[in-house]
Amino acid sequence: MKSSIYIKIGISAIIILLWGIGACKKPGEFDDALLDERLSADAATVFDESSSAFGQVIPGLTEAEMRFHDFGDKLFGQSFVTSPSSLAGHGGLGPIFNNISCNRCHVNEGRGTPFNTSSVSQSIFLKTSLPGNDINGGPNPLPGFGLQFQDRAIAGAAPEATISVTWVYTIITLADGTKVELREPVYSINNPYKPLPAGYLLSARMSRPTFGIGILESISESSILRNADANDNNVDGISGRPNYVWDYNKKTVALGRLGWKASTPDIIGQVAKALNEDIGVTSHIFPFKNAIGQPQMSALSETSAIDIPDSFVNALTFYMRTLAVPARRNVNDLNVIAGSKIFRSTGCIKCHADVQTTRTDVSFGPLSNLVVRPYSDLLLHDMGEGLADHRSEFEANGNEWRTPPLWGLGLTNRINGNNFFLHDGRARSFIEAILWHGGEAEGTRVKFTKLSKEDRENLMRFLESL
Amino acid sequence: MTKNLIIFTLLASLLILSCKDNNPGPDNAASYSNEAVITDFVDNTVVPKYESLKNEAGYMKSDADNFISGSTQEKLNILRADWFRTREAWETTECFLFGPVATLELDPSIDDWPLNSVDLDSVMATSNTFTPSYVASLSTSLKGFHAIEYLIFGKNGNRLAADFTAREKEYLGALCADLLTITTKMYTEWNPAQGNYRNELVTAGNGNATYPTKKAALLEITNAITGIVEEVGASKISEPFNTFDSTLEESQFSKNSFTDFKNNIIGARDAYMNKYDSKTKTSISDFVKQYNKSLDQDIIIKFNAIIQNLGSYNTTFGNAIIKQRPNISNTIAALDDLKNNIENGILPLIHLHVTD
Repeated sequence: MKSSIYIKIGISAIIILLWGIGACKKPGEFDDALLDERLSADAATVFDESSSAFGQVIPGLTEAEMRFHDFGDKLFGQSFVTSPSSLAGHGGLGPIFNNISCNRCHVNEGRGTPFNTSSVSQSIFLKTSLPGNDINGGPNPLPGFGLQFQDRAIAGAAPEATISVTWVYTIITLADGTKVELREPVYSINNPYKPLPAGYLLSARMSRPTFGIGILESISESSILRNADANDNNVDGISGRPNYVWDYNKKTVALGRLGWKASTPDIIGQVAKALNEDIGVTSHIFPFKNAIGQPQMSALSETSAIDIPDSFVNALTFYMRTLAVPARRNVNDLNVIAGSKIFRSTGCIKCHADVQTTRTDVSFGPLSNLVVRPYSDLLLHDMGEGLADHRSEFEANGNEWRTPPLWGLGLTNRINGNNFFLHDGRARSFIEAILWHGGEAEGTRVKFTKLSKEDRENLMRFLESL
Repeated sequence: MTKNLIIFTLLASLLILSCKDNNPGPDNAASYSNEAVITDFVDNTVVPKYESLKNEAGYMKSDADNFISGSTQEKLNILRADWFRTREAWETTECFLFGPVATLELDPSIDDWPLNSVDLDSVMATSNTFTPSYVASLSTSLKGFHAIEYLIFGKNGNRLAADFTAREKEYLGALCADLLTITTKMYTEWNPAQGNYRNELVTAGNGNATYPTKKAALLEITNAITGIVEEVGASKISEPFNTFDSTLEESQFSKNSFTDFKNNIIGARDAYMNKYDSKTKTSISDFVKQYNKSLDQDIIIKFNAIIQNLGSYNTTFGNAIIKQRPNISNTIAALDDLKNNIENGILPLIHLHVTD
């Protein structure tokens, strides 16, 4: 009987000891590989694969935040007209512009189209400048034209110029004999309102998707910089580096995150700049018309006031900040899984980095501490002569481009009715886009050309799943 | 022991009962297919409605030419009636704003708002001939429904035939021709012999790159229906209502806003039920019925109630946002409720049950 008591005490002691060991165990770091592959943006992911997938709000907003988001949504679709307008907040267009509303370039919050496509309005423009920098380290404006050609104007004013494009075609033959046609744009600047200064530089910018940029803005600086390797110290041939740019809102230098060359640090700067340069609308961040100093200004009957109040800029910014990322599809498909492995083995993953983390943001929980998969390191990379525009933007030189995020890629055709990729829309498919990679990505491009048809198709299935 | 057995048996029965699937599955599976919903939606709703819109735009163009050739008040009234009918045909298509109408920007080409009245006056003051190519080059805020509305109704809705200048008539004719061109393109883009977007949708899940699954196509149709319900409530009605600003009313020259809203919701309901021109075909409603009959009934009841409500206002929308605020507030709430029903009720059903 007594020995039985000792046995019970002994068993109890072992249980308590085991429990104690378990209780003292500290949680390890969560393995990124265990994340649900579908959740491209963690809790800011939405399960929508329709044409509205890029325009969905992130979950978790308060009622007040939803109202502000909806107001921004309305502004995103609002057409601007020539002042004076009887409608509050609708005036301010021009006198020169590229388009009349945000959603005319970012159709369905998605990407645009290159010149000479069948859409009614263009969703691409040409940046311009002279060699050298302005006082903030940015591009040097072309006298009389500024930093981009506005190819439309209000009645009574002349556009700065009109743009036309011709295409130069080449054929690439892959290792298995498959032929792929590539095309490269050659632009002509027609009917400039005044003679163009000599030596001007050009670089096309097709509009980018606007969803998910709140997450890109929220990715911690350390998460971005840990992938930077400006001198290629790890000798892998990839030397991503950050762009440090002028923040026109805060009047300071900041890490660039947004745009084809990461030349904008945050959404509010992007919004205010696009309103000003693309539509002609002034705000507190860009208080002067894009045509200031040009004769087109005489077509305006009102020029004194700032066109839209801060609240409008803030609502538009909040709208874009709170656009969710659509979930991936078919992640368990064996071809997609095989394609994912090829994405890694060919080296795509080195720049199109999959996992990033957003910073802790106690003021806005829905975007705080997310583990996200934009498939971008947000760094600049030399992409070779084929894509070079020979035009610098802050620290990005004429060969460098920011790695574009790939999330949502597979929904592009459904949502935007096309598969135009790269900064000028020259690529008409994933394959063409990959074949334009050069510079640091040359090795990866060569590996891609040597893939078997099956491996290549699996890689396409993976990209379509994003 | 016997007592324990009884308790065990009861608990086990309870467990088995509690595990029973709440979604009993299709009760008419033999007669239903997702493919039929998609194909019938295209063939009974999308294509016929775009054809009707194109035809109405054609009648309006013809009557505009007739008015231009001899401008009587009677002819102007006929033209206005055409505008209302064409507008109705357009508003009932806004529940499927996906595909070419969105990606080719055909929607803003005929329904941009607001009108750029400053530029319109400038254009009228020039001597440029309103050729088709010139009108096509004009900003979308200078043409389409609202530019035509502005010309034929006037700022206060009481314009007379005798008020028209020769230049305005020329512009009116060119605008109606442009509207016909754009609405014809909406139709032909779905036509199998031309743009053939029809094929993109009806072959969903059969190696189709745009809609690789039938689920994707069903989500597309349902989200588009949700989209217009949300837009009417959260934008078209709410914005002028919240700001007490009747100048933000969309069809303000014709005072047709309530009818616009009603036609939007009629279009959405009929798309949900796939009902057009006395023909009813396989629909999203049929899909929902299989899994949740009460949800389907609830949605249809709510559609009908909102349509009745929007038709019951005895004043213009511009007046109602000032003088009938509780009613407008209720309308907005009903639209929000319906939107939530579709979003939270139907979309999960599609995600759960459509696997092809």
